[in-house]
Amino acid sequence: MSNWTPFAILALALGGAWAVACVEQAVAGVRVAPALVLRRAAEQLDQPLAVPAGRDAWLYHLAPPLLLVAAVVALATVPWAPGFRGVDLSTGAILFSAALAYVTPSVFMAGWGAGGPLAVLGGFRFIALMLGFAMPLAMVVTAVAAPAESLRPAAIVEVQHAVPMVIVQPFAAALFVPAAMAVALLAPFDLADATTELEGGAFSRYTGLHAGLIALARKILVLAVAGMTAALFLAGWQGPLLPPAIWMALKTGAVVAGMLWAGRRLPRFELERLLVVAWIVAIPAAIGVIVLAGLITLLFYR
Amino acid sequence: MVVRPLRPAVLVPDEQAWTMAGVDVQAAGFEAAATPAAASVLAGPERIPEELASAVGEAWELICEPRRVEVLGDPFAAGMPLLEALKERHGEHAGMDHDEHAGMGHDHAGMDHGDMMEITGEPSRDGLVMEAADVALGPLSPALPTGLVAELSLDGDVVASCRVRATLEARRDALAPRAWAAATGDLIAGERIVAVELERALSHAAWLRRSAQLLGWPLLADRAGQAVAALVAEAPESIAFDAARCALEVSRRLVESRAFRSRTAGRAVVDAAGARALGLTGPIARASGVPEDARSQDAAYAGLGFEPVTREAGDAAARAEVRAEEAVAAVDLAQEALGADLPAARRSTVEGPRGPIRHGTTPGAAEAVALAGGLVIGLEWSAALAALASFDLSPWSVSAR
Amino acid sequence: MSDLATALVFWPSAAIMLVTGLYVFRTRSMARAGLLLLASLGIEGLVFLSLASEFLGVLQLLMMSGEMVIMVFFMVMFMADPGGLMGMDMTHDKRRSAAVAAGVAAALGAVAVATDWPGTVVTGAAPDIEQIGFEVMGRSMLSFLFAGMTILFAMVGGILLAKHGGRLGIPAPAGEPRDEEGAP
Repeated sequence: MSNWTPFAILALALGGAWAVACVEQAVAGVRVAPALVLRRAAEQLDQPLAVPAGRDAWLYHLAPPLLLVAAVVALATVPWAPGFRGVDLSTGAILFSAALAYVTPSVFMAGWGAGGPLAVLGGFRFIALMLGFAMPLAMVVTAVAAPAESLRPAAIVEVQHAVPMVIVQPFAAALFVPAAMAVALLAPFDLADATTELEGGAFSRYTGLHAGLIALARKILVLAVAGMTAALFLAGWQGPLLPPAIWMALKTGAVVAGMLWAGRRLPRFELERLLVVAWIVAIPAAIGVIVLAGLITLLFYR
Repeated sequence: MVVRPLRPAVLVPDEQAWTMAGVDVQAAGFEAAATPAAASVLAGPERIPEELASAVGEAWELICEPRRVEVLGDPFAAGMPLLEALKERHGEHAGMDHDEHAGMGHDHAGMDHGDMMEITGEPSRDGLVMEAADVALGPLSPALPTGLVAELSLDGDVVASCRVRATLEARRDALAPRAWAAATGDLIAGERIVAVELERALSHAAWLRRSAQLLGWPLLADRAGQAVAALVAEAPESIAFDAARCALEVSRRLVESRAFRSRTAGRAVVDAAGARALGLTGPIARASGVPEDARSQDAAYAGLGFEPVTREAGDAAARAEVRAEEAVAAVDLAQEALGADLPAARRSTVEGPRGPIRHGTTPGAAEAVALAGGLVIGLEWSAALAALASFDLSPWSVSAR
Repeated sequence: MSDLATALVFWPSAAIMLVTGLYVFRTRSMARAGLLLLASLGIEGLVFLSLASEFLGVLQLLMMSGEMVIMVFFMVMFMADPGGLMGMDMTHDKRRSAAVAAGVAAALGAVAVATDWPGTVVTGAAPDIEQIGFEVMGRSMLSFLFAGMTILFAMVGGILLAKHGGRLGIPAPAGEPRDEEGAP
């Protein structure tokens, strides 16, 4: 990690958020208008800040920065290329889970701080959802770290030089991707801010700078989650012919497009059903995945 | 179909009503915003009824600067000019939703201030003492048709009580203008079937799109939107029947899919006996197994090979399937009637998209509004809204002559 | 990390921890109390990071977020004034509890100060993940298993005891009228 890394990560965050917005338009079948994305963002930042006569001003104001910090830290742990590995901590994969863990309190703070019944409902629905999904997310990270014998994301990428992890541990990928989509507030898991059901839900009372920060943070979250999926399961920057950064960009872009596309093809899931799946299926399956990962490590990676 | 990026706007009335008035809101470049704060435009009508004036004024207040008004047409055809309504300020009327705190603080009517160990108050059905949160989905809520007001009381995220009211009053249902014109005899008989059937298909497609948006399913919303775009046209001859039928077929298959049924099956069940006792009509009754259809008595329809579409289950899924199938059948009937040479005949009863229109009233509509609220009790919030939407309630309470 | 950098992170973090920890008990709002506790224990993660305990620090950050959210969830679910807006006084038995608190704090403080903690200078490349892994899987496995299971059973049991009926409560008996303006 050099002195330029923080600046590079911030630049990546802003540029990546803009790219995710363009991919969103493309997936929706809307004509991609990159300049329009920037113009709408500027218009949104121009709006005055509204403070609703809600419950808790402190929490209301602290939620957007917390969400943004969580998103940027999560992005910082993703390894993009052998020369640019983000914040190359030896516990980078756990830091990724830790950063994503702060999305839940910030969504709760946004809903609770705003105070309207539907906003609070959105916050609580998200807590209920993430309580069930956070564990598979973290446990699967352990499972993919086992063959690499390291929690450093760059090491996990390098151990996939022969075979991508999605082929070796498909169940781990099947558990990770929905949990990652849920924490990134993506459809069909967008229970916190169901735009029609909850009239905007947890984030509905934000305008101006707050709303801009939240929109930015959400796009960065999508990028971070997709980037880590590509790094952990799709062999990151490994690939023939093209430079590593290009491979990583292509894979991340494919994952982003795939997640957004899945969000359009599936109706929003109901909380009831998701909780049943999370607690009864996903968590025992995650434990099974860890056991399987141990076996695979002993058999193939030693 | 590639469209240009849509601008979030506060739509008055909602997209379905604009569609029935012949305006394609998406073609105009707008989509419904989740809240007024997220919108920058008020896409409104030229004239607005009194009942909506204060709600529109409040919504306008919540839209952030820079904001503008875009007039797309005149769907209400009565009422005060929109700009006048925006200048008025009414303090206590129902707006987008009431900011009543979710019961975790104010107005603890049954709470004992002294001893915290004893939590007093009536336990709710699951044994926890919780205070109900009152949510009033006002006349401009994106989850309901414009003009429909729902007062819900939430026990956590489960609906404890619900009361639905249609607040707009008129001589005719503005969501089915051509059916009304046919019933009052303003349409030439030969064009009657074509106009009524096309309107039925359009109404059901617009309803499907709204339901899909409520369920958070862009795929179905896009397909239904394609059908709407194909059917919104002035002259019946210029309608792309094949495109409409294709889009409606796909929508029908999506409605019968497991994804849709998982959100709607078994919810808000109306059984056949109950439907008959209440005098329900239209797709709601037909979905409960009551095969009542004013078109069955019409010889012209019989000549075109019409059969009423019924289901047995009476739940939200059955109502959606009935409408999806009726929409496909309606396009077929309209296309046949366009080519056929039908005898001129006047009918006093016309089957509109929501039920028969007879002697200037819509029997069964008020009963449906009264019934719907009670049937969503005990459902979780999103399921309750989806079940309410499955009734396709009309916000217009038709005053008898 | 150099000594100066460590000190720059450690002392302010410790101060913030103490202040936020204190405010947990000064605030009336349950949500704020839970989130202040999250702030306090999350900053502890930073303290660990500054002391070259990378794994423990990151783990602390990860765990505390989930735990405090669960705590806020439970507090709002079971307590009668979670917003703190009613001004209810939630403290009981003030004198005795203050005496016990002061006593326990003094005892813990005495232990902390008087114990001869083994201190080693740790380099930046301390392989703490491996050591902690072996410790958890070996000597401490029973205690972690026991603690984890106990907490889980307590949470689930607490909900089961407080609540009856399924998620949507006990269904209304068949004869009960469902709506006031329903069937004529």
